[in-house]
Amino acid sequence: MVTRLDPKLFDATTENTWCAGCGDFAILKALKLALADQNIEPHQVLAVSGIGCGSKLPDYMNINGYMTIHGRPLPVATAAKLANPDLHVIVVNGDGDSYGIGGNHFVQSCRRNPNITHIVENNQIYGLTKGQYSPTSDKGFVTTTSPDGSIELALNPLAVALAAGATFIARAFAGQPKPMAQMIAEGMQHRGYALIDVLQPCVTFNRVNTYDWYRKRVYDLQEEESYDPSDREAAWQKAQEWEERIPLGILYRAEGMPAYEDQVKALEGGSPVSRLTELVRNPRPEQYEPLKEEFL
Amino acid sequence: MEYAQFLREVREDGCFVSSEETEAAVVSVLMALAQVLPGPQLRALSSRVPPEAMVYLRRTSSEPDPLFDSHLFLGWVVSSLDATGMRDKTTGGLDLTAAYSGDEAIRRMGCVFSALKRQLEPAQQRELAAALPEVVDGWFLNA
Ligand SMILES: Cc1ncc(C[n+]2csc(CCOP(=O)(O)OP(=O)(O)O)c2C)c(N)n1
Ligand code: SF4
Ligand SMILES: [Mg+2]
Repeated sequence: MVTRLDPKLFDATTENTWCAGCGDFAILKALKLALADQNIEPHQVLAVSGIGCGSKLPDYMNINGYMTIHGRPLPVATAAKLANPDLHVIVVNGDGDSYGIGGNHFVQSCRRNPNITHIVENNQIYGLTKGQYSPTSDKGFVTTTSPDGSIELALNPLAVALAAGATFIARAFAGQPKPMAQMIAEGMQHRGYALIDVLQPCVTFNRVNTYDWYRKRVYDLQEEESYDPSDREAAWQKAQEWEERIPLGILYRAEGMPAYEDQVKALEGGSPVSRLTELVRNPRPEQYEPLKEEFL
Repeated sequence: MEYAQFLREVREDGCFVSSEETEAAVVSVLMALAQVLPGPQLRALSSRVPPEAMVYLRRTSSEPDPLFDSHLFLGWVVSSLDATGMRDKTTGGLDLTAAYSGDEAIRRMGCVFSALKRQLEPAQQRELAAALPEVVDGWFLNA
């Protein structure tokens, strides 16, 4: 990847309150690089998040940002994309926000296929609320809300996404930011919903799934020359791998599927935002009423 | 130098309460170094540390990740800390585990760095520092 824009363009002056060493720093860095490498300017991006440590990310970037209530960034992002399909819309939120309280929106987004990129900061815990087990916590994980070890099986987000019809499914590791930046860029270039689940060490509350724990297990799918990400069966097999070996990279990619907004009749004549902008630039009052009617 | 002696020096320098705590700091700093140092510097460092410490200087990928920065470096060390008490940064409240973990990790890292520096000639120290990410080089040189 050749860097075109300077990633520093995306730096914000907001005080960062993540703990020292948090894996979220690497995700922030990778996202800035992915945008710079694609020559995308700050005003062309909207990052939508929910509530959680990871959801603070839009505040730490010089782009458009929207923090929704807990678990709701996906529908808000879908609406933003419908209103303005020219915008690069990125959802960035934690595993609790994405797969717990926002779990229904996650499944519906997979099958709806809006053209948005979803980066999940998956630290297998609720970080902001001080260490309760999350949907992706491994069975037996001891936390304040699971003193005897969590009882449930961990949710497998990649398998759920595949079963629900997602067209781009990838996994990255915060300890390897360069390939993560590449995956984010590829997810953004994919037409449709792109899930990038990032294994993100929470150095404060998750003392099991540390940088070293992941580093010992992760491997790059690209090293398996015969692996074909368009093969759904193969992706299903890979999505089952955990514990001993954890695959990183693009597990599944289905090309040529129409994105949700490509099929919305109301957008055939152009996006609401671009049509309104055009009217502001070139006022033709007789057009306001039909346009209003169309969208009300 | 023998590994036990190396650990003793780090422990005395950093007033660590236990040998486990000392070794956790040493191992985490070595493993973080293994993530960032290019092959030649990694091999040079390996040849100067006790054999027991060499295993932690192994890297699985051939090249270091160019985006690996001081936050990630610190992450490896913070992960090795036990509860350190005091105020935490996440909400400004009281939390017994979050604490000033970054400051404590930098302090512990400094003790390991200074023990490592004693194994290296000044020119080797400068060469190693030049290969470290921004900010980490300063932590190393000032240790
Ligand atoms: C409706 C609602 N329920 C619960 C909460 C409390 N709450 C805030 S963040 C959070 C969990 C965050 O976990 P995750 O999404 O994994 O983010 P992390 O902090 O780990 O990055 C919870 C339960 C809330 N803010 N709103
Ligand atoms: S609590 Fe965990 S996830 Fe939250 S900022 Fe700290 S290390 Fe990061
Ligand atoms: Mg979480």
